[in-house]
Amino acid sequence: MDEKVLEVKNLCTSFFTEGGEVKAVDDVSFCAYAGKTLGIVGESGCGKSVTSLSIMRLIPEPPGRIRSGQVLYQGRDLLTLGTSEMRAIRGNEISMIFQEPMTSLNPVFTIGYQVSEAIRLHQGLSWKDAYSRSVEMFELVGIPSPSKRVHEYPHQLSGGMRQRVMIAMALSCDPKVLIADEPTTALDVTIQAQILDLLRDLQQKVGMALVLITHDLGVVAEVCDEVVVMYAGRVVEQGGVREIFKNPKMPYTRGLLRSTPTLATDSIGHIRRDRLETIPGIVPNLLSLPEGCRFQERCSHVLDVCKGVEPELREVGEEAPRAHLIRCARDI
Amino acid sequence: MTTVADSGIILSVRNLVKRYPIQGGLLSKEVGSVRAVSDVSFDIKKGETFGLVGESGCGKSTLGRTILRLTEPSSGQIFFKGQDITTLNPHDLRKLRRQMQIIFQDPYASLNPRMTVESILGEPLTIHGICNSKQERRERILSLLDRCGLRRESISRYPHEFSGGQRQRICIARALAVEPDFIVCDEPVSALDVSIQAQIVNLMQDLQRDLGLTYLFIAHDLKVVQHISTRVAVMYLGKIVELASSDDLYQNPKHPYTQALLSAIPIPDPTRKRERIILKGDVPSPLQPPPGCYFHPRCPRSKEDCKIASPRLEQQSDPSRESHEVSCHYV
Repeated sequence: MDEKVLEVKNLCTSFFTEGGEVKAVDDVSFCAYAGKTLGIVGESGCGKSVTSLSIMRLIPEPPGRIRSGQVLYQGRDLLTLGTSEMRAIRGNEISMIFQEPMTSLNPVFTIGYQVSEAIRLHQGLSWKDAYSRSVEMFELVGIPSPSKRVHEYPHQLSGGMRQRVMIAMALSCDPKVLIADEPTTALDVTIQAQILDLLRDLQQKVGMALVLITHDLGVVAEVCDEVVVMYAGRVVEQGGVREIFKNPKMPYTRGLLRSTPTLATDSIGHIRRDRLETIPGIVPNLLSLPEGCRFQERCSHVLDVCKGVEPELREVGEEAPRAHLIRCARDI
Repeated sequence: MTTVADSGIILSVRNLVKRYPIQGGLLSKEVGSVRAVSDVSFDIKKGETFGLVGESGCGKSTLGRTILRLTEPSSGQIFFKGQDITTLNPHDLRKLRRQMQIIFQDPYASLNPRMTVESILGEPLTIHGICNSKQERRERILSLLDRCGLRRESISRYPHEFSGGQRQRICIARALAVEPDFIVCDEPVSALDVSIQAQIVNLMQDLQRDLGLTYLFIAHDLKVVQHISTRVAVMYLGKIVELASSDDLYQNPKHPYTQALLSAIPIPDPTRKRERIILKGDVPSPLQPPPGCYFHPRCPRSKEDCKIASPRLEQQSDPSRESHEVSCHYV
């Protein structure tokens, strides 16, 4: 049985705007296990990033507020912690890397200084020890000639190298959970492959739980063990990665999978170039959600019941070790 | 080049070079240059979609812009329907732009927020003196909206009232307003969500079929390029390293860079485990490209002479097959 390190229970996060309350994350629950990777996928505005920021308690208040729910880490609810207690968790226990490495690094300090600063603050080491620890970390994440590189500034590094620095910083205090919010979106494919490979290697060495937020289903298929699909603030489908890709039940997940070109070949070896299937329309405005299922306006299988009450997340099949859940009224 | 029209080639690029000078020192003397596009030649056939892929900084967007003379080429020639457009004066160039248009990556930045859809789509009509009566002009704009899958009411709206996908439809409608034959599409779907990407790709394919358009489709997403393109060219540090039909390139990549690039695409199928070629290091700086073959420092197959001699883009000598050009000493 896998060790459960982080559990998110019924998380609701809202933003209060002039137009009214925007429920960016609405009743989201999932678990992260040691040594496993959980993928959260969805399109822009589905609430995947707000979920990760809520776990880290980084939602700007106001306008945002975590309305209800629990984030359980080692038996403690992070949402009830005070500012200084939470600061001790961030970085030490749960760490995060962001999409754009250039904006997350300070341009006027050397990368060695920035990584050492994090180590000093969290682990109380001296500058000298912190520096040698950062050199070790740089070596671990595959930055060439690390003892020279610590003296360089972010602008002297390429995008891929900057992301490695961010990973080094995030892992410098041996966190149990790493949240990676679109870590490879700003990178080229060959560099993306390097970074994903690195994350997988480090996970095996360190045994952390990885929560990977992405919009790229290809990335999910390659690195995740479990997937949570989000749509308009809700979890709409959840399950083991093989099950979700082989047997997607919710029409939205199916649509997403079919709307990407696959490079699959047909029986005589030609690459299939069928017309792409599309999901008609656009994501609904979170300020004026339809009654009932949030996907109904774009769904090709819509029934009358979909327009009445919103379906609950229910179990449709059990593939060990994770249950397959969907939020859909249809019997599939 | 008189026979070009008969051979079905709409655009020919010959030895195109775009250098950007670097100024430095006290008197802003030129101290060096970046070759964004170096010695590129290819042909685009009428009615096809020519895909151009490569990583950021490889010069693919510069090449697209240079072809339209939105940036001036440093040397080389561009023939559009047999006419050398590198020597055209601004007046003739503007007339030519009726036939060649561009769609940009970011539909947020490429629409003027203070113009209505009517004036955005009407502007190219005014510039080129098409549709002189107001009635005729409005009719034309409405039919453009229909064609691009936008509601007719959109005509009096402003860009901020639309989503990303709808804005990209407006950009496509603007490019189509002057009835061009050739459109450069510079990462037209990169900024869009997956479900919207598919809508735009389908729209572009429909328009191509109905209007007989020719596309130069620039993107870094290899899956989308493969899906839409007839032929594909792969660029690395300003040079084309491989050029072949889309099927051939994806199934039988010959250049080590193309092989690595294709193996790096994440495939949405968790049961398919592939042999990955992970390239070491980063793309070198175009300021100081490595000697010999530009790819040799990262190439798994590189040998001594790769560091000295630069390979040329050459036809693979297999006449039974379709044209497949590769620039590598060891293919």
